[in-house]
Amino acid sequence: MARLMKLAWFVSLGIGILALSRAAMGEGLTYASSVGSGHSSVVQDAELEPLKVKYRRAPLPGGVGPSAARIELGRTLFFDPRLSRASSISCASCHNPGFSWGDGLPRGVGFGSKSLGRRTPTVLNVGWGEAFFWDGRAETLEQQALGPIAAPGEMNLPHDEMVKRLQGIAGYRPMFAAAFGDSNVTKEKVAQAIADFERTIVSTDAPFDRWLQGDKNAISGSAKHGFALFNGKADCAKCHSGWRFTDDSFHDIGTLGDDEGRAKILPGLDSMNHAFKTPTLRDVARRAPYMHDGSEATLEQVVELYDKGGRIRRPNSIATEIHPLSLTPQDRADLVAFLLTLNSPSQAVPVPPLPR
Amino acid sequence: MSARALTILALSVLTLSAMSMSVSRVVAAGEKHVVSQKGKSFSVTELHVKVGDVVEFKNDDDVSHNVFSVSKIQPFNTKMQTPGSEAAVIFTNEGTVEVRCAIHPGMRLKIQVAK
Repeated sequence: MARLMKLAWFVSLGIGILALSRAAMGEGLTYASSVGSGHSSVVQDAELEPLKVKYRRAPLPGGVGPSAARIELGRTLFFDPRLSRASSISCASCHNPGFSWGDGLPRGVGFGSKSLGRRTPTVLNVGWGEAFFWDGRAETLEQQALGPIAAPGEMNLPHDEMVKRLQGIAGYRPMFAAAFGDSNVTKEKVAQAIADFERTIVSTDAPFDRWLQGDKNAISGSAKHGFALFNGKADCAKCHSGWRFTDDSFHDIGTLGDDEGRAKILPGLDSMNHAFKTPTLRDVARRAPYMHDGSEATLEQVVELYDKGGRIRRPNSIATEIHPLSLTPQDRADLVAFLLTLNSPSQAVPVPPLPR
Repeated sequence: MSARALTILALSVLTLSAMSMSVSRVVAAGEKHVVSQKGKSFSVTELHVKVGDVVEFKNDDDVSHNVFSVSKIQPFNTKMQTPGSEAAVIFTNEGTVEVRCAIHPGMRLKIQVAK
């Protein structure tokens, strides 16, 4: 009996040593080991070099930036709830820096706590934007800024009342004077200042950027394969292109629902039916839920939507870039791993003192 | 050759040349301009054409485009253009035509149509 026990001990010890050594060996392998068992797609860094160059940061368009006084006035107005009828909603209420400049809801909430039709878009990186709102009806940030302020369902304060109210706040006079040369309040100045502030809301470097700059270990092998898929068979980069991971283009990608999207402002163009703007993917993991109506709760569900070629395929409008992808479960996991590398470090955002 | 045959021949030649002259007149009046779409941009941002000219919008890109204009003088819609396809528009009125891509808001082209 004793000999059997001794034998059992030795066998267990042997198995233990074997297991430990295999685990130790696993650490020393290349990133292929992080790409799941049975999965053959190991991507070499060198293969991805030609793609990396497409994602380098571009400078802000336009010439010399606005003055610090302009930006400060814009920041103050952005956080000031007195730009709404009940003095209860500021731009920052829905474009909340704590929620990556959105509100974390499937659809926004407006005046009288009523649900709105679409999800609050982020203000991140809008300085490079080509069109604003989900349907692109505003061509400049200045045009966009005034929209929600007067919209009855949103901040519900007509522009002339907004101007009167701001003009009556003594503390704003020196701020307008410093920003625009005189203390007269106009809606154009309000829009300009808010837009100038919004252009400073820019995502900082994420692990993906460090990898672009040469740090081979900044992102995992799974994420590198995700990046390869993003630019290759998953076709994401057709619209989510460039350092912002968006070209601001409008497509019907096969989301459900009756919202006609951009077709409302460009009637008669089939391609614009149920078409919505491509959003930035910078910090995207912080902005669930997804799509114009928050109908996709997680990034995994988003990837599933694309893998299927849309939840619904409307023959007259579905984008030609949207089609079934035949992704494996590992492919889908790798795509999500890649998207997570676009998260820049969390930052606290100061709220300015509001003038009285 | 008999006089009748000669007359018929002469008349045929005259008719044929009249027809070919009128055809070549139409072709000469309508010049063709090609605007390429590549890298989500038009190959030019401004184009000067004459009334009767044709502009051919070529999709040399790897994504689809939808060129259109809501200008009163020449509204048009090429509909969804897949990569490699072409769509031609004849400009029949004088004035300025603002051309855009419905899908890509940054793509803008101004066509000046002169007599």
